[in-house]
Amino acid sequence: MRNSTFTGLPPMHLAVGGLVLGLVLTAILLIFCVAPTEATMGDVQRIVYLHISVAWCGLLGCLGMGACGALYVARRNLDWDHRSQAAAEVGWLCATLTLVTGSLWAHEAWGVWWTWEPRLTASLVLWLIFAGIFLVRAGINEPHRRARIGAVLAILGLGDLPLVVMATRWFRGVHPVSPEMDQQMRLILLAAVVSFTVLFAFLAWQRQRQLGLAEQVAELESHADAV
Amino acid sequence: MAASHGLRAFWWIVVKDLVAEARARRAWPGMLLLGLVVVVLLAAQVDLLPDQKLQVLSGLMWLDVFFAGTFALEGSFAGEREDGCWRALLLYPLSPVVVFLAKVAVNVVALSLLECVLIPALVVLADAPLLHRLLPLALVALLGNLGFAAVGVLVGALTTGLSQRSGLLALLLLPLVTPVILAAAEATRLLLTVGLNSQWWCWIQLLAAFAVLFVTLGILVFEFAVEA
Amino acid sequence: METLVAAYLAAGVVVSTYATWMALQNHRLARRLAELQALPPEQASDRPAHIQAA
Repeated sequence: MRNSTFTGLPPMHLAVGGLVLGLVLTAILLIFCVAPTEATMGDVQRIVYLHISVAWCGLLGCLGMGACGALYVARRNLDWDHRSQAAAEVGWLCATLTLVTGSLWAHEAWGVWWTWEPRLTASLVLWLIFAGIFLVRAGINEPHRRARIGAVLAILGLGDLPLVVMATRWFRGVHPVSPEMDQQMRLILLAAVVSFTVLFAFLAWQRQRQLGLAEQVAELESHADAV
Repeated sequence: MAASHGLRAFWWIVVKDLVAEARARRAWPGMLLLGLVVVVLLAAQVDLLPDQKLQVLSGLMWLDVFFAGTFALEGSFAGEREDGCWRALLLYPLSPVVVFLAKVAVNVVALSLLECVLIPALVVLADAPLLHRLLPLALVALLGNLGFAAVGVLVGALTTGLSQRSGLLALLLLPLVTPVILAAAEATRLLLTVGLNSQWWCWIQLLAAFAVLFVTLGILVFEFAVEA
Repeated sequence: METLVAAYLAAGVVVSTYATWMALQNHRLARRLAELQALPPEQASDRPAHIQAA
């Protein structure tokens, strides 16, 4: 099957991508048109659907980054490093969106853009861990070395994960423990979380594939240069 | 048999590092001076009402420990890097776990020394009532040092071979140890303001959990981290 | 209301930028891979022609 000439993707992947996009657009439609308006905060409350979805994906990205790093340690296969990097990139984007959407919501709900309460602090630390790992990876050229160092850092970074997740239960802060929603809202929230997870999983899958491709090209180019 | 060999190797490396530091005075004097300079700056600038000051001092002290401690961690590896000593150390018939634990122990000693200097300095210069609860404070410090040293040795071993070295260690270390620093700072603040209560025990448990987590991760991953 | 729109817009911009960047990378990589696989070994070099000839 020939790849599409523009995107370099096989038609099957494009089709899946189209489906994923459709899923996300349906979720957004549900959020804006079907979800009931919340009593206290009004329309702005709809941010919560996005915020919880991207927060969940960010944590999943961190977990994926660490797990794939651990699998690289075990198997020494660069494919696992590509999966780890893809998960890290997508996870970082989601962490950024979590902080941005959370900040926007906080401004409406609490009147401040930021507060140093446990969950927010732990989330910012997670964002910084992602950023630090990218910086280190960018500075290393040799693939296996980069994979090794990235894997150890990713595994260390997992230490912040339980803090972010359990912060609202272990410490007293202002971040809500769970959203106050009725049944219909919860269903739409579930739909949103599922569709965004599928979206980011698709992006990570494509990115991982792309990293493998880049590896192939780099190898061929180094062979060609050696001739 | 293997255990006693490991224990002897552990002590050998610890003593070697401590003696080398005592003779060369490479990193620890710098660490102590950096720590003291920051304390002086803090004490001079933090001109607040006493109870406000207490809220702020613990966090600032632990940040100071972090930055000065990073100095010591850098030094811990710098000595080995010259003349290929790091490679030589790893080629010995020692388990890498022993090397890891020995390095962690040396750095815990360094950090404890730092705190022994910083705490009296803060008591004198900033009028901090840190001496009243010395034993609980020592527990906070020990657990914090352990967690910090474990991550520091692991990250230090990783960045040893890289070209952009010194700034990178601090850059990487801070987000990874922030939970430890925060927990230690909170526990210290509670000691200064409220005293031993159930909340303080929660923070101690968190500190202990991180110390256990990072030492365990180090034991599992150190050998892989220092591969060529 | 602006806050709500800003939040979803930010997400949309981030995701579409990332996806577009990946698509462009894919395009470039697929083309380069095809080039490298098609060329015989002696000609597959990145050096410009005037240096290659020397």
